Amino acid sequence: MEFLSDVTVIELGENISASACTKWMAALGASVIKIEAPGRGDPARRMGPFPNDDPHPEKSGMFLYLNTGKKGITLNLHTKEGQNIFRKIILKAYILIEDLGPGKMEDLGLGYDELEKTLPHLVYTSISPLGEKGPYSHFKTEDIVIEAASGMMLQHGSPEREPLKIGGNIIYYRAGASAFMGSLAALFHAEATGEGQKVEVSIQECLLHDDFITVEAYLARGEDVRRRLAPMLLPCNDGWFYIRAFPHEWPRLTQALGMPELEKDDRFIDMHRRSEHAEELNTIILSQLGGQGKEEIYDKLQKNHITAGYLANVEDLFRSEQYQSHNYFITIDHPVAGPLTYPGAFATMEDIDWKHGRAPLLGEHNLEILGHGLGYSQQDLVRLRQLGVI
Amino acid sequence: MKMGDKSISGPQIRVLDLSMFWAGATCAGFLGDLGMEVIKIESCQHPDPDRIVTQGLLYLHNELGEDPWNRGMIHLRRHRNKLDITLDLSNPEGRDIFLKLVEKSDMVVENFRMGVLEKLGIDYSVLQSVNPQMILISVSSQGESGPERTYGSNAEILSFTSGVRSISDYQDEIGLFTAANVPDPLAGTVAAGFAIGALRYRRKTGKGIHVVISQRELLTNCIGDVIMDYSMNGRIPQPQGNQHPFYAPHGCYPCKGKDSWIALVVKDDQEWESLCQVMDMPELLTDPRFNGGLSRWHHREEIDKKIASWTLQYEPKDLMELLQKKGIAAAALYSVPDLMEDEHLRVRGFWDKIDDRRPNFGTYLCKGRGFTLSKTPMKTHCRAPDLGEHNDYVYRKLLGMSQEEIERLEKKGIIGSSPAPEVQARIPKSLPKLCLK
Repeated sequence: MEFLSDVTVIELGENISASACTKWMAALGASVIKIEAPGRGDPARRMGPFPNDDPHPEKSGMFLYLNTGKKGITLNLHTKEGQNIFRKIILKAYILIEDLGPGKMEDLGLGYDELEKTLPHLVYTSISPLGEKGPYSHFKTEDIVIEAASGMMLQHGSPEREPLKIGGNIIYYRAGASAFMGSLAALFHAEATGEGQKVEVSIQECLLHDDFITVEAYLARGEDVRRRLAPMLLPCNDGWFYIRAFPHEWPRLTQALGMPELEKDDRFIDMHRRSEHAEELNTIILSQLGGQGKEEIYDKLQKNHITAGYLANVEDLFRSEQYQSHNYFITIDHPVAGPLTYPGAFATMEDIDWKHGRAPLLGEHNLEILGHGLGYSQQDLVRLRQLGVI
Repeated sequence: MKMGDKSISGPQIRVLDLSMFWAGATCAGFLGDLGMEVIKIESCQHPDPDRIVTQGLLYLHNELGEDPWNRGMIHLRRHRNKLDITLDLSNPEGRDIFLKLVEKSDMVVENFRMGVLEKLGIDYSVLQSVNPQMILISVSSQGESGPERTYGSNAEILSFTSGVRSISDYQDEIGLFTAANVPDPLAGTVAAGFAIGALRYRRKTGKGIHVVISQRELLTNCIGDVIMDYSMNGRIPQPQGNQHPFYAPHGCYPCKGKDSWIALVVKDDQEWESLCQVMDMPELLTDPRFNGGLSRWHHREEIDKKIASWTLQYEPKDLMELLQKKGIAAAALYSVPDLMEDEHLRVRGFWDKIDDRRPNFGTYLCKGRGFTLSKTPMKTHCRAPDLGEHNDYVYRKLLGMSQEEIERLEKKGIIGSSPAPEVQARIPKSLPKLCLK
């Protein structure tokens, strides 16, 4: 048995979060059925990146990556027939995960209160930018807007410049992680008791939950902490490196720098003094290490148990011996997009393999799931297609 | 000890939490929120740094009190819904006691450097030899194997080594700023999902399991869509600042007052028309430079200047309401005071009000959890524990030790209820003055 191989999950994902959540579930063996709108499909199909920058709905990097290991069907939920089919498919599922936006499923007559009546065991997980209820729940949002509203953005960037959004689409994956955990907790409960429930994820609240110390700084001391400058990254001959050096690591750092006399130097005697004399310290560090390569410095310090890092770009990750030793990047073939390299497993469990299936074509599994699974005849499927249902 | 009104777990599940700092503590915290009995294990020699260093000297009500190690604000939030014992695992007797506790438990959560459990003589094979169904959740930095397996990290370093920071910066300079909120809570949340999956796996198969999460690889997973550009086109993704690959305007703009901003995004012609109307700049609508999404993207810098000149006249929250009414995605950049006063979060019940009955603690607020379960709600049923508060429950009631035995262990420093003198010496004697609210 694989980790989740006896679990069927239905996904209605159009905003990254639900897709990320079910991508991880599929990797752990769950049967994930992704439902897309006929014709247009998941908006991620239009987002790219595309090979040679040539847009094609089956070649979007975002879609291919977010939907590994899933089956895909199309279903127009705005039609009565589509809703009927949905109600049949959901009978076989333990978990439904959606991120269409507050009220969207209710408008289709497929909200939790409605489905719960006949499916009391169902785990129904909704992810939305600002939550389902509350004065701002209906707000229009984008990544940068949610980061602004969560307080995260005012913490991120230089105090001398405009605040910054975090790169990529990380916040949506972050909410997907809460959906992943919440759904599995609810599943665990449902299997023992027969009682399903609604899991509600607010991306804004996930990000505020993640805040490091600023809420406590305000509560304890009335401080409104914002972006701070910190002598963080130091330049070296092929990029940037960073030394954290926790207090107990200071003697080891002076050894690694080849300057053990610094350990008792008055200017650097404790954390407070070291941060007062940060510039002097950085000059010393640069004179000892700056001529070396970033990964060389990283390895040297870490091997001496000094917490340190280097600024890795995506190419560095592909070259990383650590990642290579795990076969982290894997090649997945796809009938239209061809073989491509994807980031893969981030967890290991003895006897359990991470599954690396490809993303489905639009409507690829209509015949398998609606025909063989639900018993619609070939002619019915033709009719449904002509009616715009699938 | 029965935790919570309604637990997800049916028969009580017991979790031993060996983690320090952030990621593992978040994982175990969620399990406590779900009603499992989580026992945090510290030692008098090495209490959780969140009790002692307590980032930025954040003590409850800005008072050290008689037991400052129980008053750290980060500790009070992060260790809600946990019990607490002290136990020196580096002492052979301490290790034996730990293994007795393992016999009576279901799961261990840890986030040590890889190799530390082995050194302490409590790696997974040992745990399994005393409890074959044991589950071990390792929230590691870099996974179980590989040349960097023993390397340590914190959130900041993970954001560098995972590639996240290489795309999260200004376009024109390497920023010397600190920024790392997501990595640890992300890993802790995912790890809690795996922990529940492992319990379920055990229920079905009767087998224990060791899960090792690589925090670094998990973070890289969360920029996977961006990485695809490298695998498809060989392009190394670069920092984008606040720019979007195809929407413009897209960014944050200065408002009235110091460090006061609004974020807004225009995705189509209709929203652009609305924005030009609300800015009272109809001339932009006929300007060929801004005609159509692609043209706007190419002339985004000119647009940004126009918008910034307009937003400067407004308070950000007023502007947010105004723009949202016109159908434009926008939000004020909330500060912490803004968030604490915010009606939306208040109505949604985000804040967790703790009524702490200990003398000189009183009531205080903690942050909520980001998601809710409708029928098994994650509430705070038990405030963060004092150091060693539940020694009696664990050693006497669970393990059946005698009072004399417990006193003997206390004398040897294997258990206790206050940090060792050398640890107490690191606690400040006074706190900086309170800022004005």
